[in-house]
Amino acid sequence: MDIRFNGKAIPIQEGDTVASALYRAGQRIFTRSFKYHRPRGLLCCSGHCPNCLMNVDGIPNVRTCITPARAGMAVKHQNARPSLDFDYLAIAQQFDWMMPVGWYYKNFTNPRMWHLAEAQIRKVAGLGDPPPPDAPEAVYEHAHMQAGVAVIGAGPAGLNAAREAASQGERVVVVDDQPRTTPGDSSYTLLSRSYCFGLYEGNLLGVLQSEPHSGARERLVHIRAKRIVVATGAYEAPLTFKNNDLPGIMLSTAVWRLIHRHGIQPGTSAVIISNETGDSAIAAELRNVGIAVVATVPPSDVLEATGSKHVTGLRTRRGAFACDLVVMCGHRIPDAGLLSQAGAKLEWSAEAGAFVPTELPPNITAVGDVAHALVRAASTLVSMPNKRTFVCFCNDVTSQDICDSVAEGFDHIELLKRYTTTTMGPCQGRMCQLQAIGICARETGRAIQETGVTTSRPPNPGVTLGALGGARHHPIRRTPMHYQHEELGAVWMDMGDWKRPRYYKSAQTERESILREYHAVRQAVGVIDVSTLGKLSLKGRDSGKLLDKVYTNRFSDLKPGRVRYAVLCDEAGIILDDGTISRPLADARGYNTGDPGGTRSVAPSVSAGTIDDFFITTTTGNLDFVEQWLEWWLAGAGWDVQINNLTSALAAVNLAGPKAREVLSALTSCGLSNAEFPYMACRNAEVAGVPALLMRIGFVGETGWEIHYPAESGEHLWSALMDAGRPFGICPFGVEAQRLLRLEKRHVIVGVDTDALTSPYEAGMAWVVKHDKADFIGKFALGKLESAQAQQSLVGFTMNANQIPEDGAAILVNGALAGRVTSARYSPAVEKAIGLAWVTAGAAAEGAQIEIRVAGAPVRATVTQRVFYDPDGARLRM
Amino acid sequence: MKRSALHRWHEKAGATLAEENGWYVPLRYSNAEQEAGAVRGSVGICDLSHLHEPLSPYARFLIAGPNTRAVLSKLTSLNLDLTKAYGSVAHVRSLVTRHELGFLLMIPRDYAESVWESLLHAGEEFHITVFGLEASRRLEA
Repeated sequence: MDIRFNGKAIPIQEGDTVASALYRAGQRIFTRSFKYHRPRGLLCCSGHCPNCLMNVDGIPNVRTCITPARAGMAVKHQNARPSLDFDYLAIAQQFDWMMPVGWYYKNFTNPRMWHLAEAQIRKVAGLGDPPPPDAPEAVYEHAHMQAGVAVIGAGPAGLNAAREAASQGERVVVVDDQPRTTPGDSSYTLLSRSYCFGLYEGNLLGVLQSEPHSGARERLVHIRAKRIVVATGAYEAPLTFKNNDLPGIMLSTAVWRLIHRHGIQPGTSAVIISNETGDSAIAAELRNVGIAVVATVPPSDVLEATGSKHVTGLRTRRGAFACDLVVMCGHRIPDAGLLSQAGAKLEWSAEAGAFVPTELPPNITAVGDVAHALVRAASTLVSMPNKRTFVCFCNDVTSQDICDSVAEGFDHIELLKRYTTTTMGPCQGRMCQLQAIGICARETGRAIQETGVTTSRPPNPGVTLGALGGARHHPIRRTPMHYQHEELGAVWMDMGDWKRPRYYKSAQTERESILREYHAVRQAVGVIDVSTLGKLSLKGRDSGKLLDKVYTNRFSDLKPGRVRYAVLCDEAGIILDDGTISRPLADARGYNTGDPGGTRSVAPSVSAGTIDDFFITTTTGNLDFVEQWLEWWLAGAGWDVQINNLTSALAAVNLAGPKAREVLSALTSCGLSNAEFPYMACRNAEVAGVPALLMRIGFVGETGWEIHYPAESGEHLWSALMDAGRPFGICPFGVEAQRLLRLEKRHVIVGVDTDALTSPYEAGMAWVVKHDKADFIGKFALGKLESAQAQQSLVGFTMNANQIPEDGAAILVNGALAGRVTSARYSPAVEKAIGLAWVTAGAAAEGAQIEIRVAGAPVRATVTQRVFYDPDGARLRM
Repeated sequence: MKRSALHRWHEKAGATLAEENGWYVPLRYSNAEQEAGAVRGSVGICDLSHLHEPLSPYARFLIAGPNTRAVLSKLTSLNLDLTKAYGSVAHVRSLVTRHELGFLLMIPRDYAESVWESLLHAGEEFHITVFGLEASRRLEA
């Protein structure tokens, strides 16, 4: 049973953490410090300090002192080259005069110099390397829990509180960060190896659990609790003296842990630094395991520690002592970060020598050491300025740095924090905060209470990004015909959550495949899946009123059996969405002859609509907005309208091309002639035995029908169309061909050719605004816009040379910027590149010459207001 | 014949499909008794989309077994103590209702496969099983 450390086998024992196994095997230097690359060894052994961070199984910055060792783990040191024992970057210490606090603010005032230096500094400093892109992806997940009481910390006080709450019938969750599992008590749920990194509004706790099961590395648990008991205890913070960061100088709690948890003897001869006079408890512990206690000295007497890679002695006012272990009985600080996040106040207690929480918010309680700070302050000793006395172990901030910063004017504790970065490293202030506050108070001559404490913010401790991201459950929306597209060779594109075929791979190249689809629609027949369109049904006698209010054109007068183009604007007259609105035919009783897919025979409840019903389509991306917009304007109006979102319930296809009628007539008894089913009409009919709503509309500019029908028959009807269309050369077409086809017809796509400032007037769609109807949304603004001189217009253009600009390309007139391209494609009908563009009013005239930037160079183009293909729409009415 | 949003998934998983009220339904994937046993022992999911009303935008799943809550809690923050809740399940707005065997999920049809896959993924640690109508009838009996 062993782990690999830098490739070497290290034996592990039952109950070992990675750090304890390494320590037992003789490892003393665990990390190299952030800035000076000084050797650092175990300090806290409780997951609070930055001294044992290593790369474990490819994950950087793992706190090895609380990570259980598991056979086969690959552990690597970080931030030291070539090794922890010999790190050539330790030379940085010799140049500390070049790197005073804030040195990069002072030296790299030139942005170019900073960019050069940045890369180098990042290599020297920093906290390990992120996993390489080709590293196997670790599995992370989320979970949610609701609890009556959540207890943070499984110490004696926490477990007491948990048992008490459980005995009152509460559902209790206990969160603890230590690797042990507390002996069983089934009255509560224990999340071990879990730490709470934040307390959020509404008593929401963010908890990170390591290895919740064999299949996952970390689990982020969201706990919503009625009551939270904080039992995080107190932690010990180091003392400050010269060379206080040498390996072999440990907190007393760390020594205790090594002895009792791991059976390790952390030295042979020890000096204890403690305020306690006489024989301290820790001295007895040391002697019990055979460590000689050379001396016990008070912190005020300590001058410096000696040694280069490990402590070899301690110089004090009482003399110098040789030793290989220095035990610091440090300040005991309530771990009150969560309480502070909950809104509690932290007040300085001179008696406890610490900031203690007061004024707890309701439903938050604190028990144990976090609430009752121990009067075991080692001392309130504040260190004098020294370049080798480390206050912040994470970022190598010395007492000299803190004093210098105050002298430079950064004398507010929050400014001091940001300038020196003390409290901003992985320990988030646990090791350094009190010392920094103490020095700041002394240097500014203010009281500690007045100096105050920096704000605790989640996440604390840090959380891996993978855990925040959670499992890869990105939602995907598939239309009912998804797998048929796949079988036809669809090349997919994402549209929001939707997957849509961009084109079907039918030829060698993408361009050929798309052209093939294009020609099929123009010359024979094509079919496209438009199930992603938003589909809303409106029922109730005031439906027409609502539509008149919300859309710019009029719908109350729409005759049954007809379809009308619909544009929706906001109060400022900006186009928000477009689509179609149809009014299905009614029978003699005034009832609809069937809702789309109303399955008349099967579901009378659905077909029991009346003549007042309408059916709206919206653009793919705007459905949710349009639905909410309609609901919003309906709210409080007292109108009889029911809005029903049928988007997921219905599949839809658009069958288009000169042969569309012949294909469709093979599948339906519905009359399709121009007399029976004219352009912009709608009918309910069965197609291939499936009840459907058919609309004769023409986005792509050919005779065609949009067919809406129940999603569960999605594959059936698609197959029927493909079968019936085969003799006519039917071809499925994707979004790319559709965009080309519509561009030739100069049809605008809202959100592509329009933006957040586009009104119907500028977009050349003045005809969709009906000013002669009663008030509607945007009426006032549209009235103003109608009479105002448009600043810019949406125009068509053809390229003079055979080059295709990119969407968004800049337009120049006489060398000055005069607009941008919104859509451009090569048009087989025009045999040139064509497009739509926004241009300034002066450049919008028919035949105006503009220049468009293509691949960095201006290319000439001619403005046109004409439709590129079939301007009279004759083909739509064939 | 009407097809649930998971029709292709069932086919790929080797389900035995049958016709019921004009729908293709998955009777079983392997052995109904084993499927029912796996659900009783841990957790399983079943596609009940054929039980829907005409023109419904929802697919219907049943999730059942002792580890039902543990699986669902990995995908939703909804309070599963309620009898009915509407909110995000695997990032998809869904309706969750109590059912005698577990919970009934109503998922917008076009997200059905995505959520189904997420349930299977979240349930891996519990060896989640898919079960057909035969097993569901045994469980209800």
